Amino acid sequence: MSTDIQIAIVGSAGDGTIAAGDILRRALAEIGYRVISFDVYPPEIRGFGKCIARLRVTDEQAYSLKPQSDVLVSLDDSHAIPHVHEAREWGAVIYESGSVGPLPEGAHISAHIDPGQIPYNAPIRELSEKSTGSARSRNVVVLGYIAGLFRLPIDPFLRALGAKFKGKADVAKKNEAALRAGYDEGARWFRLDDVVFGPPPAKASGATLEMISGNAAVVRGAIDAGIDTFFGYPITPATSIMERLASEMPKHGKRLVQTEDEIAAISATVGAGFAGARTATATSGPGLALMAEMLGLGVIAEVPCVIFVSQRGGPSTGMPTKTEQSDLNMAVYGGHGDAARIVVAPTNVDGCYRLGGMAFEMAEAYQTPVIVLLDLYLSNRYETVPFPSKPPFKADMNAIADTRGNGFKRYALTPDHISPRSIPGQAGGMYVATGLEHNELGRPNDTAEMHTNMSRKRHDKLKAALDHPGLNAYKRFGDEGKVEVGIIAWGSTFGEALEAMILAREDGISCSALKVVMISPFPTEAVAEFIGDCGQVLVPEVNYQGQFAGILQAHVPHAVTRLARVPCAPMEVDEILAEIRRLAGRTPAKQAA
Amino acid sequence: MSTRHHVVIGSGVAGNQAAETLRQRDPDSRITMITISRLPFFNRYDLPRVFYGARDWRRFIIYPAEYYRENRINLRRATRVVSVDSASQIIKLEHKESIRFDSLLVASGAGAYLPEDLSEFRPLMHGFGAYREAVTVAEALPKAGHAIMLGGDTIGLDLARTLLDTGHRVTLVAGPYTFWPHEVAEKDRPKFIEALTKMGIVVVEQQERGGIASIETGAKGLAARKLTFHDGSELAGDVVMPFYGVMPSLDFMLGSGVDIERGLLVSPNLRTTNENIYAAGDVCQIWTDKEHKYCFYHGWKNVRAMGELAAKNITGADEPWVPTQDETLRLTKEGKIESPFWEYQ
Amino acid sequence: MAGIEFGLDFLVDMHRGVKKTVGKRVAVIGAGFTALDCARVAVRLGGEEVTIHIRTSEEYIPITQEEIFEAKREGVRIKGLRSPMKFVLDEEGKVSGVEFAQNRLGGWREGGRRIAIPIEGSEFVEPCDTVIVAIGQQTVHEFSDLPLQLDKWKNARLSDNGMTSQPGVFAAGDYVSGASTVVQAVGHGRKLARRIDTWLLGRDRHRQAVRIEPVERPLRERASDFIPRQHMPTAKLGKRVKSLACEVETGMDLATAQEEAKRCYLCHLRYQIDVDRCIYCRACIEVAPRSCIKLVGGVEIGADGTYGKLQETKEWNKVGAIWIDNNECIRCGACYNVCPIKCITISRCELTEVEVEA
Repeated sequence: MSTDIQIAIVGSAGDGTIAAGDILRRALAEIGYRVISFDVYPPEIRGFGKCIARLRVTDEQAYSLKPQSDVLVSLDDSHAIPHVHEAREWGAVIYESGSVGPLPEGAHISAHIDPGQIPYNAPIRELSEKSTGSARSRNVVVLGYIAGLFRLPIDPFLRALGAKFKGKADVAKKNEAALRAGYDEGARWFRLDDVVFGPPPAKASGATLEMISGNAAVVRGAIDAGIDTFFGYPITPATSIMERLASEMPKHGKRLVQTEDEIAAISATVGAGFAGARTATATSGPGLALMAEMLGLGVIAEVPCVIFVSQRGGPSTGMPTKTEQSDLNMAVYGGHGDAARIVVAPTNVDGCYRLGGMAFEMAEAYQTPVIVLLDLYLSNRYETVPFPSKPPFKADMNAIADTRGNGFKRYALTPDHISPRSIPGQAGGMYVATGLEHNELGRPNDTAEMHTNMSRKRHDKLKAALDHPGLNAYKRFGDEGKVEVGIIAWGSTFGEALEAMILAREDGISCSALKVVMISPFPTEAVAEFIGDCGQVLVPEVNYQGQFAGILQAHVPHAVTRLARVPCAPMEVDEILAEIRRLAGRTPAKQAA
Repeated sequence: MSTRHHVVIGSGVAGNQAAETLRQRDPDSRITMITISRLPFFNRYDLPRVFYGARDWRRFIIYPAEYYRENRINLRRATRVVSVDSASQIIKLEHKESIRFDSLLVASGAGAYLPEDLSEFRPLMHGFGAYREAVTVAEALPKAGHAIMLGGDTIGLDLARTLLDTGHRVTLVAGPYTFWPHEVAEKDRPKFIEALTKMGIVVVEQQERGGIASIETGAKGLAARKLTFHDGSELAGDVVMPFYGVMPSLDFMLGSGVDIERGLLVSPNLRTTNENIYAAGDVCQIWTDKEHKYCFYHGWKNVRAMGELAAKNITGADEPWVPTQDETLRLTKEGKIESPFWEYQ
Repeated sequence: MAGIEFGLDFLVDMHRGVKKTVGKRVAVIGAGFTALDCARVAVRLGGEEVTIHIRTSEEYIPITQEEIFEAKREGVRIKGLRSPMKFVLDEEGKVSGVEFAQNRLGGWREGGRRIAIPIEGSEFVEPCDTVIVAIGQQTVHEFSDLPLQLDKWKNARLSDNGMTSQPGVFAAGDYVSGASTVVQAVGHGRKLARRIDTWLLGRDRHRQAVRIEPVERPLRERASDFIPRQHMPTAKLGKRVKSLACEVETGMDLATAQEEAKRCYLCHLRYQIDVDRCIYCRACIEVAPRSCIKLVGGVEIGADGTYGKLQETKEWNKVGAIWIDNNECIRCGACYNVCPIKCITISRCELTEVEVEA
């Protein structure tokens, strides 16, 4: 029996919603399921904001969360009530059976449960108080309840819980009691829903499965690629990249510096790249804006360096804890002058790992800054990733030239536009790395001829990156040949697009999805070819302008339907599906139960 | 007619029939149905089917979720009413939520009655009122297992037929509750008991053994339960199931200001002593002018008619209750027992 | 008339060792503890069908649920909504049944009891061999010839100092309050002794005072709230109905009694938040098991400048203080334990007596 179950836990800040989701996904991953999970939380640590932990467990790695959850848990009814409809027919709704104070009609979640859903009212608070003396372990009680109700083994939960409270024996003990209390209560229930966890899939050989977040995968990629130095300044949602590197890099004898601001961070990064180190920084939109000028230096001086950018809602401070794909224009075009650079956007956590390492290869191979564009959704989302037993990244693509002899030309014009490179201190490899336009030796030169040649060199050298070994700059999924509707998507939204495409095909619509990983340089030919196969083209993305569609149309002038939305959350699969149906001329059908 | 709020407590035969009638007669009203059950209304008469292997509870459901959506009935399951304030027309739920009603129909039905002298043995007995209980019994009863049935009301005797049919053994500890709610005359009793024996039920008269002294867990290697009578004789079986008729479920109505004896006391139009509160089904005792007393009526036909009548009277009618179901226990020509309470459509 | 007993006399006779018998079918008429006691004695004397007939219904009679349950366990049945009209006698003049009229419930009486109204033409007969009439107990005055002032229920009327209308004559217990319980009678006697002492001495020997002292820890756990009520162990059914000497309630053992005692709310402890130190982190509100910690917006100030009721608010930006409502508080200590800055204090408040100097 195959497993495909989505669980959503909804609570208020302070309820431990996100922590519960984390323990749950770790336990389920340990049991052997594939997990994809993404949490929604407010910017405040305490207070009244809504928190949602959602996770989907499957046998095969899923691409996105589902439009409907199989199990919905309420830790706070006022926040959970608007989400009750999210639980599917015959799905389970788990909620607190009691109340601390009097409630007006409709304030309790039981007033909103659909006749098709199965209510599980549990004395969550009482169980927490009974087992720990306090109501603070309600979230852990709920975890135990889920484990008990769905007859899952308790040990992985105990281990995940133990890991969470490592070093706090007293807290761990109390929470273990809460977990067991919840488990016993859940196991006591006679199940009426049809949510069934099948046996976990057999472990794949040759790779170790690990549940990991997008940011953690980036870090793992960077470490596996042998990152030497990192300079950064914290900003949500990129901070955890630096935090993780700070604990990982010293183990490998590498160094990380938290600089005073983003300008210093990018300056040091470009400097380290100039010095021959594998180097990176990480930031979000506001930080990238500050880095734009220095990025230009990296471009003109042809310095390999990597910038991880995790986007959030903007402009300005915007919405630090909401996901958005609205920094694409800045990543591709930001800064002054004709500053071509490589921009790649992973579409899942596995991609975060591969591009997190491969970015260093590309930076060195094409001697340029590489922007790896994530967003909050991808950074914070967890998936189970099969890690190869040996890192797949090439250790050295420095292409350090033999500089013995006279006349080393650092910026030599070559057929493939890649010039020989030296590192400081290399005998005969001396040159001037400057922000001024320069000649082949690096000396200032502002003639029209040289500026034209150098501009062409800096742009055309990147084209080879589209075929960079191991990188799939784009990939087509779904039906081959002519299709009614083609979807072109990038970044984190691709998962939802793919899920929608699968559902559309189940509905009998011929449909394909093109994943575009490399956005600069743009895979013009491949996109044009794809569009040629499509009756209608849909471009879903989470920004207001349709930034990717704009870039696409600049390269491939063809009418596309933009589905540009700013829901402060990942795009809904349902919304994409509805648009596919509309484009395919299907009348909107009722969502099948 | 209005946007009155009709609240129905209970989602059994009476409650559902009432809600449907209320919706027809008062299309704009708001209807809330409250039930302690987590399942929508299911067919209790079908429960013995679990012994034939029917384990998908969804097949027991009488109305699909769509029915409640279409009739705009807010079905509140897993919800316990703890009190009703008839003066201020407010219902309090266990989770401290208050619901105001314009009309209230109490159709909370009845639960299995267990004589007080047996109450200490409750944990060792198996009930048979809910789907969950039915499955539990089916799991506790091994192949060709032995069920000891106490009391032997019609619900129990119906189950006994199925148990015999599926290759189990049944011993009935007969007493005053045997055949409940049928009232069997003293002189007719022996022939009905004989009919049970013919069916294959072993009948033990409780009174001859001085009553039940204890129920215990059977010793290792023996049947799961041991029943001892006051005269020292014993019975061993896999399950002990009490079938002593039912008792109205109306704890939440105590202190409501509505008159109660054993059930809610209602006038022939099914109205309680509060003008906004009606009752229907096993929970109510209806005044009969003819007999000058309050009577219970059982059987799904009666109960359904009560639900419909209560809904009519809530929405403006004023009609008296007339029992619709023949309640006599019959013996067929072949000497088989037939109860009108055994069939459900 | 043969086969008819009167409740209290029946019990008193039994107590004095008078040999009594009852028939197989016993009808007890009455709805108080005496009726219940008579019924249970009747079971022990061999009554097979013992029924208590009441005018209203079980919900409205002044007997505890536990008592009714124990009686039912012993086989006593209770039938409601019936008024006794007359006894039915056989040819030998022995009672053979009671004629009742079917009642309906009427209005309310004091103490949550109901008025029952017999319905004309609804009479029916319940056959029986023995009738025990357990209604209408009255205070006995025959033992003295003091002309005491009595109230309308014929009980002694007392002045505030506990004295009857005769100087130097005091009264307590059922003689004053009518039929009630032993517990109430003992309590009344205790209080009255004090009053007599005061009267003799011409002044109060003691004065009441409140002692308040700080407590260092909650003294109670939240878990105590989940201890189920410990039931009084009782003698086995078979054993108890065979003998009049078998005590039904066997008493709790030490462990059970201690477990039961843990359920005490310790309501003499007072929890308070020091508003000046509170940092409004809400941690206490989150752990509070009931609506005992309240957000207060302000306080009513009376015309004379005195403080009145606290005004609750639900809007966080209007909160002036967080306050523990000691009427709601169950002294679980959850707030005390969770408070990060220990601004919650517990004090023990006790009513004590201090000697008054002569």
